[in-house]
Amino acid sequence: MAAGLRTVILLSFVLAVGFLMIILSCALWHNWLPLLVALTFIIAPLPNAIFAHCGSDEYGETSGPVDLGRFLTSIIVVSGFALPIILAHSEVIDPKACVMSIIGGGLVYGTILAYSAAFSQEDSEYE
Amino acid sequence: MPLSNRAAYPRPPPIAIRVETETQVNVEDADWNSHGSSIVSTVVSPSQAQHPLPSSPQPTSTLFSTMSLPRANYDPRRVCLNPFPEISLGKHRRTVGVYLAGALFALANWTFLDAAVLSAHARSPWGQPDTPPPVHVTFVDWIPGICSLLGYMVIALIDKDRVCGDEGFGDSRAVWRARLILFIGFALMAGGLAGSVTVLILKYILNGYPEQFTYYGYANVSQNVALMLSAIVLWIAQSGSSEYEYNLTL
Repeated sequence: MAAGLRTVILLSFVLAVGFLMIILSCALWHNWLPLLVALTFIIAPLPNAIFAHCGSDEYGETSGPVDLGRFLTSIIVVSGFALPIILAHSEVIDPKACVMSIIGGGLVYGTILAYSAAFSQEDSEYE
Repeated sequence: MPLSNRAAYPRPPPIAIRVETETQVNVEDADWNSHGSSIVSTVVSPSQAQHPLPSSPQPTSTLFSTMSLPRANYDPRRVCLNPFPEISLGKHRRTVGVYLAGALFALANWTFLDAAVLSAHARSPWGQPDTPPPVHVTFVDWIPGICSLLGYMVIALIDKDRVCGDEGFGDSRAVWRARLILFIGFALMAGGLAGSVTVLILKYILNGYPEQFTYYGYANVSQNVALMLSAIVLWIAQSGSSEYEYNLTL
């Protein structure tokens, strides 16, 4: 249980650092467009979470809704990385802001992934 | 005459021949389980079948280990000296394929949107700060991408089992209709690809714009290529029902 507590604290610190990077990338150049990256990465795990319980039959084969969820997840994640690059390419935001927002978004999304991976295992253990 | 001549000679009496072969194979590599260290000794007497002499040795064929079995990793159909690495994603193949298809899909559309955003924020060409940019991304550039997206939707919505299904299963006309719709989908995607190349050549290259603006056309082409790749990856990922079928069945 202590390990789980340390995991939670570490992940929350990483999440805070990620949001700090994104907000700094917005605030330092007075351009709040990179905040969209945070929004994108927050909604990234949603399709998988919604469609995961939809359509797995008794054989364990993945079906259409699960595939759709994964497809949407992949689209959203790639969009989160592509959006600051495009904004920097057309010089709407600063290249340094682009790098900072990408790093921050990666930290946020990595936190979400690590959290779900760490605590879904414990769920299956208790069942 | 020659026949009688040949008949005149008496046949030589049969001689019992004893052939003894001993083969010893020493394999240094202990990993080859099918070989092992094996001693094969075979005794053959060809005269035994015709002239069963009591003194002729009985054929003793002792096979300690099966020599004829190939090595475990040897395939006689192999062409290359070193076989290709076998990429077996196993049960995650479908998952990885779907994720890859989604990533390619997003990459395709963001490539074109990059060109569109760049065109909306376009400055004057390099070196001439006074002249406005000569060309913009207009609706003509969007048409190939829209065609490809429609084709993508059609292909993704087709039931894979229906297309590949045998004719006797259910309605045979359903298979025919599914294949027609699939053909329409692929035709839309190919039309989008051809249209993007057309736009690139007719609108950008032939007019001789600088490279800064020709990029719009190249982005359009790469969007359609990536969309087609994404459709193919999605099809391969979803078509294999079991992990033992790796063939792309269309």
